[in-house]
Amino acid sequence: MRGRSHEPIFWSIFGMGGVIAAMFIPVMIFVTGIGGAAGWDAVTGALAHGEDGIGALLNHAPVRAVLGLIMALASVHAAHRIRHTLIDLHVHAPPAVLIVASYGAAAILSALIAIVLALF
Amino acid sequence: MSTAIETMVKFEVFRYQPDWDEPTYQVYDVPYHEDWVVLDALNYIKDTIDGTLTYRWSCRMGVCGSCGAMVNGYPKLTCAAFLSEYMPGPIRVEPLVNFNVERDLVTNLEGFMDKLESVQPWIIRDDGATDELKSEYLQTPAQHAVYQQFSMCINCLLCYAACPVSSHSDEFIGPAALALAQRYNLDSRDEGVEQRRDVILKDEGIWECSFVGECSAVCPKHVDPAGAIQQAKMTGAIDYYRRLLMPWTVKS
Repeated sequence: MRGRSHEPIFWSIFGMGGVIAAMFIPVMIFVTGIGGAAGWDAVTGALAHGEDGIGALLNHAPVRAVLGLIMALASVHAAHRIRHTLIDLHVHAPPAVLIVASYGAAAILSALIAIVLALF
Repeated sequence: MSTAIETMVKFEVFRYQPDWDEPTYQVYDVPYHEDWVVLDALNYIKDTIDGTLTYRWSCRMGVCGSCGAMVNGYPKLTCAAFLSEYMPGPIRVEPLVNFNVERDLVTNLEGFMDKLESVQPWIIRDDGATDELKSEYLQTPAQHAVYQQFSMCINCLLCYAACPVSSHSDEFIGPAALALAQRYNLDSRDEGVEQRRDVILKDEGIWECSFVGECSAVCPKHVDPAGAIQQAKMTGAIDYYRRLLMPWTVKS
């Protein structure tokens, strides 16, 4: 089709990242941040007891892979939103530059997340 | 009703005539009436103070969509903007942004008309019966409900004035026209999805939309163009991947 846009690629990853971020990240913040800080027994217990808790869960490769995927998709989501906001704010840059800068940053961030998850 | 001292409201109205070098703001004092809208004030100015003031209006009841303007920087139908909401004033009235100005509050709508026509907002039939109705096309209430909301558009263009994408892209087809495209694509009587596809699925169609949602926020008829565009993006994305991964399932 003439003039067909390739934006669906970015948009669909953006959409996935948005759903994933909205579903999981508040829960993750609540459990690991607020719940832990408030001293909820269930959460602090899970954090403290390495063998049964979150620490043990993180030793499973599939769990790390899912965590990495959540964070990578959320970074692409953020990159897409930042790219379009810059355009809306009349930042005059060639479209290719904005695409490389925004999704490139998300790719680098995702790679760093993957390295951290693989090594630690 | 008469009061001893009439309350006055200051109006700062955008003025521009084609033979002027630059636009200016003219200040008018208008008597305040609780039941007046901005359009009543404009009519008062034109009838009693300055007959050269030019603006569009017709029905003064939110149906014709011709009296849209920026009221204190926000796109409004002037027939639905009560003075009481802006007291004690001043009230600044300007033409809708993102359009070229012809004269005073009157904007040039040709670009929009071309975009509207490009999405073919009418029922298209495979049997070619676009201009001559060959039979009744029946529709259930459920089928009607699918697109009913998007059919309420009055082309007032407040959504274009609110749209950040329209502010930087002249080519962007824009909220109202895309919502109408979706309205016909969702109509059970319509068979024109394929014919609208090329226009809707290019960058200047749905994909430039950054989903800020201001179009839906300012719409006086609650059409939700942003929702229509999001729906179209979902079908557009499925269409894209289908063409990419299973091209044999797509009609040429």
